[in-house]
Amino acid sequence: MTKVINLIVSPIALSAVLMGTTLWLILVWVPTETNQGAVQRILYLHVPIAWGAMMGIIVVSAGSFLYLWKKNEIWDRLAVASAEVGVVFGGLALLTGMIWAKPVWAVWWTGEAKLTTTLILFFIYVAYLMFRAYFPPGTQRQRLAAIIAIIGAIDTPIIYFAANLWSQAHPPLITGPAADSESSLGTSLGVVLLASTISFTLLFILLVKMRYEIRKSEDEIKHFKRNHQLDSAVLNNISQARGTS
Amino acid sequence: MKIFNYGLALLIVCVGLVAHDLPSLVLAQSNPLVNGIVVGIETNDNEQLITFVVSDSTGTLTTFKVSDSTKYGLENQAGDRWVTSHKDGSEEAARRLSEHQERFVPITVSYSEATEDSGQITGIATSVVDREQGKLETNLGYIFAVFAITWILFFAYVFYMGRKQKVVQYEITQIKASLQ
Amino acid sequence: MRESLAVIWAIGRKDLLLETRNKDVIVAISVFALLVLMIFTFAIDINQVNAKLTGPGILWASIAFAGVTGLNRAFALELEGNTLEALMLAPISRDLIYAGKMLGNFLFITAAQIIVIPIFAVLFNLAVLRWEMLVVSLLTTIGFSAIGTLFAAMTIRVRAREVMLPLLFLPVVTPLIMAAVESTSHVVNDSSWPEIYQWIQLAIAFDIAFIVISAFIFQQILED
Repeated sequence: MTKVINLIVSPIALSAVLMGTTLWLILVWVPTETNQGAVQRILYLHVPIAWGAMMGIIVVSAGSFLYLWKKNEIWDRLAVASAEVGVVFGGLALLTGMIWAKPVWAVWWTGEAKLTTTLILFFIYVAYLMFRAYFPPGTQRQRLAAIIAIIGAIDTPIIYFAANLWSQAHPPLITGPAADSESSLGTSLGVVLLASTISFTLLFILLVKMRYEIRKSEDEIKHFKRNHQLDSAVLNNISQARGTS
Repeated sequence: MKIFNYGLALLIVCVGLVAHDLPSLVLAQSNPLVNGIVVGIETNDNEQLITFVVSDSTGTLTTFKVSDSTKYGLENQAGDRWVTSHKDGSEEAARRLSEHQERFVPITVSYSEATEDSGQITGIATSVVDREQGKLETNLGYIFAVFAITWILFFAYVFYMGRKQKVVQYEITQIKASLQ
Repeated sequence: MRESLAVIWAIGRKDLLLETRNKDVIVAISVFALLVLMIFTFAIDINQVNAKLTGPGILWASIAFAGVTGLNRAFALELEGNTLEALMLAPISRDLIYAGKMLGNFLFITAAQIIVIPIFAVLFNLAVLRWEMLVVSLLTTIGFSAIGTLFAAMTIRVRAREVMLPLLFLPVVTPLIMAAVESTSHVVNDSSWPEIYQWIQLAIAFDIAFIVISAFIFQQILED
């Protein structure tokens, strides 16, 4: 019984309920926007996901900065967890944006400033994760990764400024109904967008938390192994199991 | 695993909603709508649009006034879509609408503040767009693609974490066993 | 101040001396860039109309790619001779080592550009040899070498260094490449100075931001 209660009040269940409600709001409750038609519903997913990607960048750079300052592994774990989740959100934001743009702007991709910035940042944080994968483990890896994350964060406003200037010099060829036309929905759009943003923020936090905890266990296992010289036989077992799994 | 409970719940809700309410997804509308062709246009001396009359499939005439906040999304013969509000393009709106009148292109008008006077309906148009019906199916395909990709990617990521978790769990049991 | 400059110059001169002996880096950068240019002249049928449209982009893409190759080579030389460790043992501050290495890389890329840009002008039949171009290429090279030196030092111990350096370097310098391409295309189109200047401003902001940050951060990179 307590198990059931625990499940009901757990953040995961809360997130599931919120996400379900959001989907109901997006797919059923909110009326169809008249200018863009049914595709406008994509934005209720796209905008919160893009927001999640942005949160990812903020958390990575904050975590990296705190790691360089305090040298506490907690911040490094937080940074790498939110970088991973942020890359997932960022990739999704790009994909959903492209699918929305095709019917509305009549092109999959255009040189618009926000698009360019998102794409470049996506690549920077993919490089961040690859760097972590390639670099030999140790505090130096964590330090250098933190530096890359901070450079990415500092680069963000410059990229946005450049992309903006660039798109002014090369006006995007948009032939569909432009996105900047006002919506016919008014408040109901705001309600759904708010609900959706809350749900996706919660999902983001949950995913980061899960990733963080896995990371923590991995680190603890590593520390433990270093402190207790384990049987080579056991270590062999583990590495074999890893090889087959 | 907890993550999968969450995913399962989400999936069931998704499938249920989409299966149950797909028709209303297409039909839900905010303001009253009229579909039809333009049969009359009135402009002022500066060739700015003031009112227009739309005839629907039953032949009912509806007169629409326009206000500064009226929005247009009208295509020309080449298919280029022109989107703006009345404030910024009242002359172009008149031009585009009369072109639609000549070509008998159906439009969709959403309106508010409708009044009925001896069978004549008059309303203030909030948006005037090309009739969307023909594109609806492809549009639904786009929505389906977005939802499918979003959830597939999220689940793939959760699956990836689940695998990592398994490795961690296995190592912990190994360590525990070796300690005993 | 004078002492610091002397240290920076000493490190830069060391790289230059090494370069005059084996000519590894400058040759690598210029030949690579010229090859990219040559492939593009076949890939795109260059004529008077599209040369102005595509030329600036191709030029800076080739220099960016070639620059990465050169940076890889420059730090590979340090690694082979274990000279970076020796440099770190010297009683000089780390930001001076950074500035010295950056000076060396700056000189390499500049030397390569002196070879590449005139040949580009001939191949694409564009009048790029104007004084504005000098400003553009100087600012871009400063930015390239500032970021490049930083990332090259970071990736020195990475398993797949040759892959990792461009993956880090290229997205970060994208705004600089945009600025270089746009101002070069203003140059070939004979635009007035104010039009070029807005892009020059961007390049200056980029350079200043990253030189300052890199000087601070380099300490952290070489720490063990």
